[in-house]
Amino acid sequence: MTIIRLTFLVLFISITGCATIKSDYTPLPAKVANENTVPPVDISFSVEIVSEIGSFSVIDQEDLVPKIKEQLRETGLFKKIVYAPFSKRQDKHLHFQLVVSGTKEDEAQAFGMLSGLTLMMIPISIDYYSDMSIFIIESNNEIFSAAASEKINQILWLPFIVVSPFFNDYVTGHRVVNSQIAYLVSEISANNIFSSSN
Amino acid sequence: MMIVLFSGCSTSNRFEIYYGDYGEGSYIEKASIKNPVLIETFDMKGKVAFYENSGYVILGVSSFDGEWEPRTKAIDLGKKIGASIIITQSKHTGNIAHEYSISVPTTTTAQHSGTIRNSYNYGNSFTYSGTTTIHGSEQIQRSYTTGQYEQEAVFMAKKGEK
Repeated sequence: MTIIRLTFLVLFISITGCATIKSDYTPLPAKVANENTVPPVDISFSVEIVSEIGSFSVIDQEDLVPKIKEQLRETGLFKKIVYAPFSKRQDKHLHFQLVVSGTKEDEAQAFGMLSGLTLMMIPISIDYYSDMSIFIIESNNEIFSAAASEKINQILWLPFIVVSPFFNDYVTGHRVVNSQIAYLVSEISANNIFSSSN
Repeated sequence: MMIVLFSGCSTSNRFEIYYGDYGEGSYIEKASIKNPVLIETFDMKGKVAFYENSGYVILGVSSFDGEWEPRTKAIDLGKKIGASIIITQSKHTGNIAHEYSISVPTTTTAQHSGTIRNSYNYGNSFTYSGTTTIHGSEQIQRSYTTGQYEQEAVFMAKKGEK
């Protein structure tokens, strides 16, 4: 029984003894008064995730699609919002691209191993970046685009076990993409993109 | 107390290394207060023309090929030079495969048993048994790919912002 408890304790420490912190590069969403002067339009949207770090499992397409759809719906600018691959896009299409870069998987494994061998006593800092862009295509022309970029710093260090439930990869990663989606969608409203195209 | 910090962070900024100044430094002061607006586009010419017609001037351009450079680094440079708008464009040109191996500890245990008799087949015989444990390591090959891109950033500021 003691061995099982010890195993769980070691697993808990090795998985959660880190803090993942975002910088504040992503602007806050623009506050736009929704005056409903523009009739809502039908759109399709697509999502592309590009990992430049090797394997990446914190966020996938199935996480992003409902988040984006919800944010788009809240603007009140769109009537029918459907997910469609870029190749099957409708006349008015929003393409979201997320590029994740930073520390590559082999480098991260080496740092993780070093951290484990030192029982996480030595703080190890690893950087990741989230670059999210939106491209609005109408009749095969880009009519608007915007981007948000964020730096995410992961520190592997035993004392951070206290904050790790609130600042782990998953929580911070989702916090970052939520703020990026909110900003990019607010830019559509702020710039009245579809006001002249109806 | 000295804290040793190992870091896997890249400090180089290729937007800055490959930056070419257009000599419009007199526009920079007001814009340096906050983060510049970042715009990623497939239509660099169209976007630059749009902002030039809206009263912006080009402060400088950065252009290079290679792995994806995080756009936060363009923002860092933009803040330094006082840009209020950064327009970036990238074109995927290919992939590079990376291979590496990780060493995983392995343990192999062998059971031995047998009987020892004397050579004339009389007298006592003895049985024995035991285990041999061999500790070793196994190399696991892994691979991933990273993209190569042509990347360009145009740094702009509003005319007469100073």
